[in-house]
Amino acid sequence: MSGPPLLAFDRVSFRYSGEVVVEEVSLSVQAGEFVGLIGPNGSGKSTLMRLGVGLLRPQSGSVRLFGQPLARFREWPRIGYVPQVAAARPGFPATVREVVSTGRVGRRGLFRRLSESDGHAVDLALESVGMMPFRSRLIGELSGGQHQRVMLARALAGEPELLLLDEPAAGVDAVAKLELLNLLRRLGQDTNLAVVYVSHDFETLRPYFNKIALLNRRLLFFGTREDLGEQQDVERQLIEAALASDHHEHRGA
Amino acid sequence: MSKAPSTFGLLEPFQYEFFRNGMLAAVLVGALCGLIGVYIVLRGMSYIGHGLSHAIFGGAVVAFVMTWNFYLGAGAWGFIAAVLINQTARRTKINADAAIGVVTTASFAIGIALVSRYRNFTRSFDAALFGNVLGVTPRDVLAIAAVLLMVGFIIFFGYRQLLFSTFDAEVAAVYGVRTQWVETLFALVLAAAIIASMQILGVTLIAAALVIPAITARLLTDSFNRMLLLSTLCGALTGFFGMYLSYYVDVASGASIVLLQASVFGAALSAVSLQKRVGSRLLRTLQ
Repeated sequence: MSGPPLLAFDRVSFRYSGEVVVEEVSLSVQAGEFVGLIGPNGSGKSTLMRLGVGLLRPQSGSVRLFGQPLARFREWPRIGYVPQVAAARPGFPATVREVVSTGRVGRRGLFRRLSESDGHAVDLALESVGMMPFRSRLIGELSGGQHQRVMLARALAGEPELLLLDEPAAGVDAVAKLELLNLLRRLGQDTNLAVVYVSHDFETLRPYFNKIALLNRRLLFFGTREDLGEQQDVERQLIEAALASDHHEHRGA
Repeated sequence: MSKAPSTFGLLEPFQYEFFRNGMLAAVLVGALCGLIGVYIVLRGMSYIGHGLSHAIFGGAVVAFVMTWNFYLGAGAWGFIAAVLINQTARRTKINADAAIGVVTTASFAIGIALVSRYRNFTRSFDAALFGNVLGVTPRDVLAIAAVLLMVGFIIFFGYRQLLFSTFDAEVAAVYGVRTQWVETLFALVLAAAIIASMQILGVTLIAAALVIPAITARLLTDSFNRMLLLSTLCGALTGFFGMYLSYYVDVASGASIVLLQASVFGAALSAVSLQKRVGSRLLRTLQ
């Protein structure tokens, strides 16, 4: 495999108020890979994503993007990111197309207006997530699932090489979820796009990933789908952790 | 004593230089506050206009006492206050509203302390608090026009960056928008706009002029573009007619402008509610 990994965590740890959320995690993502980051609620998946895009700084260990240390990395247009809870702004007066077009600003820089080719990229992104018919709708008028698709279109509009998706299918129905997965797989094959897809829905998504990272604060497993098949004990650990977290949540509720 | 305008008397106030200067300044200030107000309202920062104008009052008094240039002294003070608020909210557990409360009231208190210590500028103190159109000079008008031009330039060329950071500031940073720069620029622009508006509106009323045109425009349109245009237009027109009102009713210019803006907002709110009610009744009839 040529070139440095697009994203590399090296023994990364992070604590919130003294509580360890991510512990000594090391993994890397290469071009064209479709990596599933799987773990129960509270396992540190979203924190790891936020560490990966520089929204949080690790307390120990290091993160590298496209071979560069995070602190020195400036090529943000190479990255697309969809957060777990996308900003819900019910009264915000911007259309779907306007919001998606903001995904191009990193490529233009400050004080350079968007060109015709930017508009074309925006339309393509809208088409690819099936939101073209909604392009003139206000962003606040969309359902949760449609909103997530717009956020994905915004990420795709920037034509990234690495896409980090934090539970992108939350609130999306089963059919739309499969369409999204097929789209991402196709983009990976056609454009060599690398995708990190965060989810706790392991069984549905398993066939789509060519690499799987199982996380429960610590990395339990990182490797190919086939390798995982031989490690039943890791899966069992994860399922137990998921059940424990669900049990804990229900008791909390 | 109020004056009743005759048909030809509408041009009467323009024979006075103070009115011509004041009118020009009011229209420009109205447009400026209307334009910036859109970003303030959509960022959920309506309180910052109120707080920052009070902070800048402190800066203006310090500039006066230290015999610094008013625009530079008060401007630097306001900018520092805005950055302090931003950094306190970003780097500590304190929310932005609480940070505004601390930084701006402390700055305002410095101004009050200096005013009570040096009692020789009571008139300037009143003018800063409530606005004084009589004191507007051509130099002030030029300064306001320069700020309006600067803000227009920044919004025209940085439209999408500002839209992104207003809509979703955290994610905008991941997409290469230099949100720190945008925040700093915004603080600078806001400080400049408040200083430019102080003479006309006074510290106490600037916040209203920043918020009312923007929320009126929001009632009337769902488009970000049109909201910018409508809010600017609403600010400029209420500045124009507010100045007239101020002359004929003989009240402070800031008060008449803000009262007119509040009336326009009330009218827009009533019109929109009525339209909704008629629309839903029509829909029920058709069904």
